[in-house]
Amino acid sequence: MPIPPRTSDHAYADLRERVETALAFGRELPSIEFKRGEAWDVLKLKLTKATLAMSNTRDGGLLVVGRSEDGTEDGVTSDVLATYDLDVMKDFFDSFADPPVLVTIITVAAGGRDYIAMEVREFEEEPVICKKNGGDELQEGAIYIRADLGRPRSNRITSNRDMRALLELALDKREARFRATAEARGFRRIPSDEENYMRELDEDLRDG
Amino acid sequence: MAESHLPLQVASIKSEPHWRVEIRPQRYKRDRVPYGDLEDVVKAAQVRLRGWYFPHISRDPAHRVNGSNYFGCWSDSDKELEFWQFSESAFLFSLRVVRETIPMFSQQRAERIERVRVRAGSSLHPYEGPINGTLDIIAFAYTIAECFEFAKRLVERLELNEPIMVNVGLRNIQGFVLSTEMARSLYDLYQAHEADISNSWTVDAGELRKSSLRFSVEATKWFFNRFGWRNASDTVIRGEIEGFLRKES
Repeated sequence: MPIPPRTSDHAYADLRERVETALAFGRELPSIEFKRGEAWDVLKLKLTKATLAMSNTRDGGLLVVGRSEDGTEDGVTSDVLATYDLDVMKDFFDSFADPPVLVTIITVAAGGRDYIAMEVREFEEEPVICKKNGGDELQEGAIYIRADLGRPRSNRITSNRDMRALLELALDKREARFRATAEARGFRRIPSDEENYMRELDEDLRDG
Repeated sequence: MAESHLPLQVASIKSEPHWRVEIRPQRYKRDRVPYGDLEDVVKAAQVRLRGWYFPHISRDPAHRVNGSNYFGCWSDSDKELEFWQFSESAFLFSLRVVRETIPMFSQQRAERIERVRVRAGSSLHPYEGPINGTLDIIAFAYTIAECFEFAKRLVERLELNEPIMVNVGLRNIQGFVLSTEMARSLYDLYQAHEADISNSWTVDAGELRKSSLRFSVEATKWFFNRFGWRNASDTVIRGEIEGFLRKES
């Protein structure tokens, strides 16, 4: 499928609104990254790294192509837009991602300009690991995350703090999946003493 | 349980600076106290060291709440605003407005705030926000002591041999400072920077049966620390609480 769809489909209304909000806000965050409107071949490794990083970040993130970080350049030209192919993009991301990334890609028109938006969902069960080298950007075996300290950027995990946070996120998901499976099979979790006591209180009393 | 029998006063309490107290055996057992004995157990464990007992059992039928598994009371006088309930699992839950914020004491409150402000003067740390109210340190220690003393008496009355959880919280008290009685103020400013301060203590029933004093002193110091008062004297706090506990009428 060529060029990410410029959809007016209601299903993408939230994503379009999210992009418009991000553009209006104008600053990068751990969950938002801007890339200037350059051709796919120029950006593909950087976009892959950011996609992998956002996959490993709680609540994922949003990538917008067409906005420079300093806000001086806006939109992608039709020539640049023509270099982006939805299937090629997804295949390229997944050629580096293990397991595959969960990403929605659309073209958004805002303020008379076009932007390519990639909404990345956080991983479902296991953190996403980079499975092969890619230029200077990507290293086989690396796990990338969005740094939440200092300037937002996609970095390889190097600290025990970041690794622990990622493991906790993965364990939370594993526990939730286990609980859902157990409950579907008729097992009931035994409430803790604390939960039993709290159940005795009216809801208005539980939160203080 | 889920259906609300709560008096309107609960919402009022929650919107004000208030104490939130939970006292219960660590292990949950639904039917530790027969429903018909709930009030008697509270009476037996009630702490009567001040004019206002903890918890206060109202004689006014309109102020008594008969829940499906608990008995409770609420009060809305010019001096006290509180709600508590005690359930068959031996779980006491209590909400009580911080006394210093009740309108009747508003003049004293204003005077205290002004005194603290004058004392602090330009030495106010840049981090300090506005002074939103004061908390008398003696009344503070007494409130904590009442909680642990109630726990002690509950252990005795129900012959409990397992750990007791005492959870004490102060809510909506951001900007409040510790103060002393009318004529004086503390030299330094000890202020709550967060809206909610709470902690849970798991207390051995055997130790508690001997005395609640040690736990009350420890918990009082824990709170004072959170106001930035790091060097509050154990001896002075202990002396105040010891004297308080001897006042039983």
